[in-house]
Amino acid sequence: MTKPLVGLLLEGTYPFVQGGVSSWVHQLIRGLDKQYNFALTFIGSTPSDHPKQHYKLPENVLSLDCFYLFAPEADCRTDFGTQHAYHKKLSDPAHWGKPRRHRLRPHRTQRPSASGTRWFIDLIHRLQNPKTPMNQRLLQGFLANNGPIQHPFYPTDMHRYRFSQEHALSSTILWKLLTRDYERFCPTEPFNHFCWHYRGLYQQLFRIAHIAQRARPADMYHSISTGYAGFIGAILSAAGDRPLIITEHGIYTRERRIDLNDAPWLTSPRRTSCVFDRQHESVIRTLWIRFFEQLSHTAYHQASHITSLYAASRRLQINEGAAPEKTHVICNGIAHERFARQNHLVRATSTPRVALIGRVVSIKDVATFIKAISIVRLSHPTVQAEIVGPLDEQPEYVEQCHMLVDLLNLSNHVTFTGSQEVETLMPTLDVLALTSISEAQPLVLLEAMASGVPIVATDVGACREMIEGPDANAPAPCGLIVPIASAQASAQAISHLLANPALREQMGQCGRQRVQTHYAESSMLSAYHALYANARDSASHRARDTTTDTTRPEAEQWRIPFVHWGFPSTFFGIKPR
Amino acid sequence: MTSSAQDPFYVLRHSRSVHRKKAMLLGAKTLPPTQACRLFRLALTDPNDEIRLIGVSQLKRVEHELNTKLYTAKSRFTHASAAQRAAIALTIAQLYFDFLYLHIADPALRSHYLSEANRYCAFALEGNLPEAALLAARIALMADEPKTANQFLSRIGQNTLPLFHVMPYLAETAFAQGEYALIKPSLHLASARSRSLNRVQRFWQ
Repeated sequence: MTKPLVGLLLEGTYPFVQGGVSSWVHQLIRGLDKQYNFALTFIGSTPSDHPKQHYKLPENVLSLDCFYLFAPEADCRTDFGTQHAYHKKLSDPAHWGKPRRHRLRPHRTQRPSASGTRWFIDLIHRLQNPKTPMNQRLLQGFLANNGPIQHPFYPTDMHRYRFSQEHALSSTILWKLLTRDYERFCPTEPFNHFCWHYRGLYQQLFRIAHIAQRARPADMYHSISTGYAGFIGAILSAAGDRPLIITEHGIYTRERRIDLNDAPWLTSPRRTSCVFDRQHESVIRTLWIRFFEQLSHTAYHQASHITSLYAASRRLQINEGAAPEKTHVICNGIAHERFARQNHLVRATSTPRVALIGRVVSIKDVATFIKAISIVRLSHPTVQAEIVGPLDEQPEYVEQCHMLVDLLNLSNHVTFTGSQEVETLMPTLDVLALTSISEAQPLVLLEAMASGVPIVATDVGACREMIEGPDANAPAPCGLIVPIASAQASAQAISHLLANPALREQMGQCGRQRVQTHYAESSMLSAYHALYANARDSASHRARDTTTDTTRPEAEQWRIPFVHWGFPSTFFGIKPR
Repeated sequence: MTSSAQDPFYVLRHSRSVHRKKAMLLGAKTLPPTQACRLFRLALTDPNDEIRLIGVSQLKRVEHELNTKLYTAKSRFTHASAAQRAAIALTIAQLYFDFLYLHIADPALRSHYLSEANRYCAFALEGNLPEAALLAARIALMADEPKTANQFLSRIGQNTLPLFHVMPYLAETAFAQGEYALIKPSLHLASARSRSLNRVQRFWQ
């Protein structure tokens, strides 16, 4: 019997990035190898940002297609190879790091049709109102808007909705909107700056359409985020009437909001000294935030099941627009037996050893860990700290961390070891520290708990729930929680644990028990197996789209009054001048 | 005078609009570092986690800038000639001092930064730089040693630094030592050149 094919949509993660989400994806694919095959669609920024494939793809991965949103356009069409050929290729290690890379290029098409123009107007309307998700017909239009393409999901009547990127970006409709919003909201800003942001935003939509047109058909789709990946999943799900499952480790829209808050490319070239004189920046920022909100809302709307890792994350998904009845919590799990086996390892020395395990990137706030160690050194002069994890993702941040080690004279105390085998490392540690400023449900905490290592972690994501237990009746904690960006609090917690071997032992025991009870890998895998089976069988999927009334005449469905072109006066959250 | 609605500190403490707080914090990047860092520190106590994260990221940015300057200056210091060393040491001491002055340094690391600032300032003093004596006085004031600060200030010659640079610190040392009669004349000289001191001077009149 043929195994069902799951189309995994991965944005900026597996198999080109190491880290928690990638490990989780690898674990899921391997764990379900008997029941499912997988077709991977990777969406990244540029090939140079993701040069190396870090994981050997399991046998049940039949294809890997890579798309880059910001790669230079080039003439490189793609064809749909047979799954068998790809399977052979991918199982050969000689082909690692040589996945099929697609270049995205706009195609010249015939003049836009009237239906295509109406499709674009409706699209603009939905981007301005992110609370209203795109309906099935609008999503199907994405497969048609760059000219006919041989796609199994291509609806036969969609050729009528042709509308290309060229037409969109040079259309009178977009120009009118652009100039009106410029005059209304940012008249003091250089026009070029505003214009390129505005066009860039719409350009992204057409790049998404290209990816959706080239994505491999599957029996169901599973996107590991909302955003671009989730939206492409929504298009494919709507066009092929296939179920879509969304799993979010971090909440995508929230993370994009945080990124955009500090994005240097949003900073205006105009300098001002008044903190309240920068509304124009927030206008452009709001445009982008609303764009991502629309992508997420549509993905949530189209999905049949939405999963998160912990209860607070589920609440955030509901706040961001997910229907509560679609949401489920499926915790991460690990094969704790692997770690239990290593517990016989005996410590070679009595030197206190602390480690931070994770990628050396700014979100992990390694700098705070280094500063904490410089404080711990005052009470434990022989302390040895290891920073274990890949150093190639943010080289400039790694350099900052090295600089800090030098400035604090910690060269004899702090070591950057690069990636290491966690199972053998864990039993040699006294304390595991995690100083991240943002996390979901970190696997490294589960690994430390399974190894009986006490934890000091910041109060982010599910860390508190994991350390102190999911409910008030939970037994003793398996570590200590500290506030973010506080080297002093982290240092106090680490010193406290280093000074109390009995407490460390007690916390270690508690961690082992908790991971066995709540975070077993088998539970996680069986939950996803059940979810996939349920999604396939779910008949409700076909009748999901309630916003499209198929009984109405087609022309009426597309009728969007032109008076709605512009933004309402309260758009962007500011009053027009 | 700034109305409360336009006061960034008031907005951050009392506004219910996360959007307004965010816009203000992002705009605060262009403020002088002392004010901006106070705002970012205040943002760390906000109930909204997006506001807290903006505060963290902005403070990290300032800290990174200082670290980079410090690292560069220290590598220049090791390779510098004896004649250049005093000036570079003064820069390093000033950067260590900035960590404390901007409240970037963690409280537990204050003594480390203070001792490093003192160490490099001592190098700079060997070069007889008047700015080094002023910085040494400021470091002593920060370390709560007004007598030492006074000694350094008195070493600054009449014609080496403008008086209005030195006088505010003389007033501060006088206050710290309880010699309140000396505050008024010191501030009088200082406020003639600095409008920001006018209100303090009026208080002591």
